[in-house]
Amino acid sequence: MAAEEGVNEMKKIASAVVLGLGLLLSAQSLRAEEVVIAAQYPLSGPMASYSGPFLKEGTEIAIQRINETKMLGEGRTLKVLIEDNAGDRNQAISLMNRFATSDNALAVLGVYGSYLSLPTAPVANELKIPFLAIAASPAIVQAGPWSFILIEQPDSSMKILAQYAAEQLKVKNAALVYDRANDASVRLKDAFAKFFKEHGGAVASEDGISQQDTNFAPIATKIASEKIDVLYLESVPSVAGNFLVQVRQAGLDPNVKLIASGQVSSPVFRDIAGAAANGIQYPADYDADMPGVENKYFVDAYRKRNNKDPDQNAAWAYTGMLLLAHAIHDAGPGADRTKVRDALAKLKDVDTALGAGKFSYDQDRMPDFKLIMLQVANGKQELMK
Amino acid sequence: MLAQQLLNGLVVGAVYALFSLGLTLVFGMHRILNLAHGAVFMWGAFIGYFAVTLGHFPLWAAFIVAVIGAGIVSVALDLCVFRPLRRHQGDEFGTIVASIGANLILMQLAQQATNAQTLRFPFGIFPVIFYNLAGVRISLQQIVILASVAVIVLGLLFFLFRTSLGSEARAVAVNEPTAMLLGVNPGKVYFASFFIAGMLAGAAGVILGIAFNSVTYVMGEAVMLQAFVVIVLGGLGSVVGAVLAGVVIGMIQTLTTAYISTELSDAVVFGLLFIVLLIRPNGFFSGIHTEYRVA
Repeated sequence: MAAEEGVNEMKKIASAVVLGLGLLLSAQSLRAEEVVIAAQYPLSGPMASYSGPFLKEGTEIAIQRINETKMLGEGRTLKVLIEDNAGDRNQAISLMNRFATSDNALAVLGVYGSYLSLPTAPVANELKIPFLAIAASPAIVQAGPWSFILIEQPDSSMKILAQYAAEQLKVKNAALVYDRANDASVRLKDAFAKFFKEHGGAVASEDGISQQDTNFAPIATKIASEKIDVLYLESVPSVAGNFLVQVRQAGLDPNVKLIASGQVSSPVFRDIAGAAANGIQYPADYDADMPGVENKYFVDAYRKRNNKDPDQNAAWAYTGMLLLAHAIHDAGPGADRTKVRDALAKLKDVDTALGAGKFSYDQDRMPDFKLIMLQVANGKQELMK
Repeated sequence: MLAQQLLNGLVVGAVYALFSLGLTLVFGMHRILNLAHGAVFMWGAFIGYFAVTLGHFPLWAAFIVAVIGAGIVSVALDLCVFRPLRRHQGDEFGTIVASIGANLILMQLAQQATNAQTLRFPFGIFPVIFYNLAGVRISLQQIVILASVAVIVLGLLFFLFRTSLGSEARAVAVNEPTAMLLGVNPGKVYFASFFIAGMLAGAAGVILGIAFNSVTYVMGEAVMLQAFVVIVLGGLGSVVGAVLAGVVIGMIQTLTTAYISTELSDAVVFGLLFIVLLIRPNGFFSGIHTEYRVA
């Protein structure tokens, strides 16, 4: 009898040990939970000159921030797979497939720009993986419930810019130069033209350029001969900077005001344009001098790591990662893609590096944060008062 | 504005011609369609850029370094890519594919060296001075470009038609085995033609890099497309044809952009190529100045 009791006692002890070990192991596995997010950027190809490397740098700072502050929750660490889509639509789609099926990523950030994001968004929706596009086109959101955009719609920034041009600069005749091969660029130009006309302005000419162009002499000569009082410029930083140099050399009247979209908010633009950039004004998503906890951390960490100020691209990638981290946190431990998608759509008042306010998605999953007005003076970008 | 746009077209056309001369020279002499010629052009611009920014060379010295550097890259291409294929009796298709591979390698190297960034020559490296001639605004830079291209083209013609090496080169172009029987060393001719083609590309690279304020690892691709039209329009192997066609293409492209549409400029140029291929398969200028053909 005593022997039987001893055996039972042993069984109880063994069960307790096994249970304890099980709990310990499961606690360890909880602690070791590694959340995988994927990011794809144009790290090579023509778009890389102004985007990919900066996006990657912003992402790396975000990973550091998220893991340092345990933003995903206790015991969860973030791992980000960063791949190169070479600015190529087919590669972007292939990578989206790979991230969703082979890498089992919980969400995807990047692709970059509407040109690459528009054909990739339907794939993300088909594969049912949350996709946060660093792009502005609302068509990306309309592709389905799994795709989101990070940048405010063209209307918001162009409304501010057109109003500023008409009321503050008091200009009437505009020449518009835009990237003809980029859906978002065309939308921005159209939105600006619409709002500018609503404020009593007129459009003297519209000229499309492309990212592969380097010889702008014909268009620059034409614009320099037009009777305009404002030049609106919308293209990627390197191309916009180069265009500005050539239009100045073609003899553009120095009294013509220069305005642009936020794309020129990049050191690349100022490096390429040099003194030709002085006086240009634009609404933008980001400036390194903006206050805010997240931006301060981001700027300090970025300067320490890269020995230079971050640009808008780096801030976009940093913010995108933070938003996904908040969504993963809100979705809770072990959350699946559906929960992360739902949490992302519900994000409100998140402190990020962008704009002058907090980041929120509205009921239509459109991003909302307060844009800022910037200008270039003496070769430096500064916040307008 | 028309005169101003014609000047713009003349300048850009002159540089297209400079670039295309190297391509047409190598094709005319050796029947090699070197699709890596754009990469040599790009490396010429990079060598010039690095000579200025890292070597602190004055522009004239950087230009010479870039021209010689691009010549060496071009010769290296021949030694590493085309010569082995010649030894193995490779056909023209194999040569084209090999040159595509070489082009990609040279572009990847430049991409790695620059982290894919767009570079520019320092501001002020070339004096920004403008003159007003009968209402046309012409810059010192445009004058120097036109003068440089004219001197280089005349130098090339002098080499081809007034020197013994030029005569040997033309003999190899007409019939290599017969030229060898006459004592011509084809190796020397290959070296000279690739070196000169590289120098021409390098010169065009530096000039365009400064004039258009942009040096990137993809800069050779767009110019290569224009060069195809130039050498077909000018007649393959024709020096004068390449110069005239370069200027014509530059002007058509400029006027289309200025007066019709930026979107249509490439369509007009390539439409012209199609028409020329239909009515003059040997090129529009193949009938004139035949003495200035290298083959």
